[in-house]
Formats: sequence, structure tokens, C-alpha cells
Amino acid sequence: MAAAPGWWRLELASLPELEESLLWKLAELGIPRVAVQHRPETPSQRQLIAWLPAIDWPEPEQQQLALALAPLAEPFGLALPPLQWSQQADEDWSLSWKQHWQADPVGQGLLILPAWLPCPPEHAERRLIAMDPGSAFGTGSHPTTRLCLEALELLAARTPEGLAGLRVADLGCGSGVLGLAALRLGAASVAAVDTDSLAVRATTDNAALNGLTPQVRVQLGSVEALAELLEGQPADLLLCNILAPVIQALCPAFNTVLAANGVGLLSGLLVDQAPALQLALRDEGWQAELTAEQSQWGLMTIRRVA
Amino acid sequence: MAKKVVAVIKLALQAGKANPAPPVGPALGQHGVNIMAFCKEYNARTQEKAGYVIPVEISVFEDRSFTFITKTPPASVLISKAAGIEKGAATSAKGSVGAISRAQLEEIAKTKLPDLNCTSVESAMRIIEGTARNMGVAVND
Repeated sequence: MAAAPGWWRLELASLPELEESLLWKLAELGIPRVAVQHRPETPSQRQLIAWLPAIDWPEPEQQQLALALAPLAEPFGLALPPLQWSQQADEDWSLSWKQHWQADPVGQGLLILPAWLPCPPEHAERRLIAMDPGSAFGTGSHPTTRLCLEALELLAARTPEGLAGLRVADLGCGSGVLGLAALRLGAASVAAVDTDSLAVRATTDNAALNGLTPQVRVQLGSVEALAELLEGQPADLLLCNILAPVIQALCPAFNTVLAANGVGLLSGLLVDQAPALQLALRDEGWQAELTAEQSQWGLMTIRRVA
Repeated sequence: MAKKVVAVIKLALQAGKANPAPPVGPALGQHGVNIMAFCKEYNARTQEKAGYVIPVEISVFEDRSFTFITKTPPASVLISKAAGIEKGAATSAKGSVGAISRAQLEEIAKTKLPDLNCTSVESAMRIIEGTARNMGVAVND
């Protein structure tokens, strides 16, 4: 097979015993471009992928490489898994990932738009949330994000004033999309926290991208940090799209971030997790109702028990 | 937020020098990950360790967003450091370039345990010992 322009992609099963030896040997042989990947449900089935400049690795060199790697398995009493070679064309990877992203209409009137795309004319009437997507959860494509955004819209539609003037708390803000949507729907301000520093930066950047920096305050941390950001005045609206066990663990402190007459929209929970979470919230004085479902995910609306 | 991981990818990158060329571009681009955002973050977090390989483990979520953590140095780096050598033997001439003690082996195994895809220090020691042998570094009892 003739060497292709671009890259050879070398793949082999990465046995746990062999992985460090392979990484060492490949680096020694001038092959530093290596990834090891696995699916989360099968952590022991790892796959090692190396990229080699095609021009430097004609077929005889590939055979030499196989011979150089084979002895690495000996100290472990193993055999080197088969090497699989395929061609990979060169491309501008700094741009090509963007093809995965499109303008994304959500609910009746919201549009999540990757920052580099113009607003499609057919969506010109929608409220725009520009995002530089990807460095934190909440790109809009996940059912839980959509459930929250649609619930925000419904909440805003319930009264003529919508969300006007509301102070919003976003617990586990990710990309910041929920808080930004609340602002687009009329809310006055957002206090947002996340335990992931990537999320804090993403929310800050996305607020700036939408010209909403003055209305958004973000901090690294959990519910305690959120209470601090709110300066002792619990919010009118709590947004919390995390996971059911985390919501359950944090709900004893919800009274520090959500006012007694406020509303909370909780997601990140699977529908079958709802009953247990409802009980936990009930114990903390919150009446919780499963108000929307999508692809096994649920959205819960909470209010203070009268 | 509600995070379901769909892929976990480990890359051995030069601190402060991540760029969209392989492995970053094709490994993350196939999942729609924002390549430039990753490079910027990785380089910012590792710039003070320039000259070292800082492995990184990236978790890609269902909605194509990601997060990452930096990992322990490669076993070969720890072995070389413990043996006081520059690098391993070019041709796996076993025991020919240096040696480490069993106590050093155990220390390296404990350091690497979280990243080795094994659950006991004993298994980790076997992996590190095999790696050392491959590098031409003997383990002295």
C-alpha cells in the first residue's frame, strides 16, 4: 500500500499491563502523537491510537515498528495485540469540529446559536442566546437543558410580566445557558456557581458574548458559594440542572438560595428517580411536582410547602 | 449540570503546547469537541510545567461539551527519575541502563495507581516492574 499524504492511524487494544510500556516505547521511537480512549461503561477495554506522518512511515517502517513493539509484552507473559493501520487525511482540526454544531431552536421562541454562525433568517424572531459551545455542559442539545429552557419559557408565559425583575440563582451553571435564557426572558440578574472551573469561565465568556456581563455574577463553588453571591437574599427563581443524587444532597440548603415565595426548576433527574427526590424535597419543606419529561429525563418544579 | 460521559480520552501532551494537530484534533474532533477551547485551557493550566509531558484525561459529555483533569506523569518518567537516568534503553537490553529499588518501585506504583486501570498496589507494582524491565531498568531487591 502506498503511503498516503497526511497520517497513518495506528490502532491496537491497550492492555492495562502494556499501556505504560507502549507509551514509553512509542515516544522513544519518535511517535509522541498518541491517544488512549475508552467508553465510560468499559474502562478496561482501552484502545490506543497513534498518528504517524505518512511520509515518514512507509510499509517497511511499519513492519519494523511492529517488531520493535512485540517484545514489550514479554515481561507480562502476554502477546502484543494486532496492529491495525488506516489512513487519515490531513485537515484543519482547528475548524473541522465546528461542523458538528448548528443553530438550535428551542421551545417556542429561543435560539441557541454557535458564536461563529449568523442567525438564520427563519429564526430571526427568536430570542438569541449566542454560545461558544463546548467547554462546559449546557450546549442546548441535551434533553435536560431543553427541559429547563422550555420550562423557563412556560413560566415566563404564565403572567404578563413574565420573568421581569426576577433575581435568578443557577446552581451548577455549566455553560451558563439557563441563566442567559432567563435574562433574555426578562429576568433582572443571575447569580451562578459551578464546581468546575471550566464552567465558571464558560459562563463568564458566554455572558460577555451576549452583552449580559453586568447582569451575571459567577463564582466557583456549590450551594454555599451561591448563597454568598446572593448576599443573604434568596433568589426568586432557582435553576438547577445537575443529577438527582446531587440535588438530593444539596436540597437541605435550598432555603438559603430560593425565597419562600420563589420557584425552582430542577432537572438532571431520570423520571424513575423522581419519587425518591420528591420525598427528600418534601422533608426539607418543598413541594415538588414532575412537570415535564423528555427521553427518560424529568423536570421538577418546586415551591415552598404552604 | 446533568452530565453523561460518552467517551474518555487520555492524551500525553507537552505542557503548554497543545495544538489542533494529532493527537488533539482527530481524537477530540471526532466527538465534536471544541478543539481550540481545549487547547487554550490545557495550555493555561500547564504552562508553568513547560518541558514536561503532562498527561490529560478528557471526559466528553453527551452534548459534546467536555471537562478534563491532568494526570500523573508517565511511568517511564518516574522510573527514569528514580533510576537517575535520562531515558530507557533504546533496545530493551534488560537491566543495562540503571536500576531502582523495590521501595522505589512501590512508591511509583502507589503514585500511578489511580491511572493504571488496576485496583491493587500489587498489580500496579507488576505493571511498573514490567515497564522498567522494558526500559532496561532493573529492580533490585
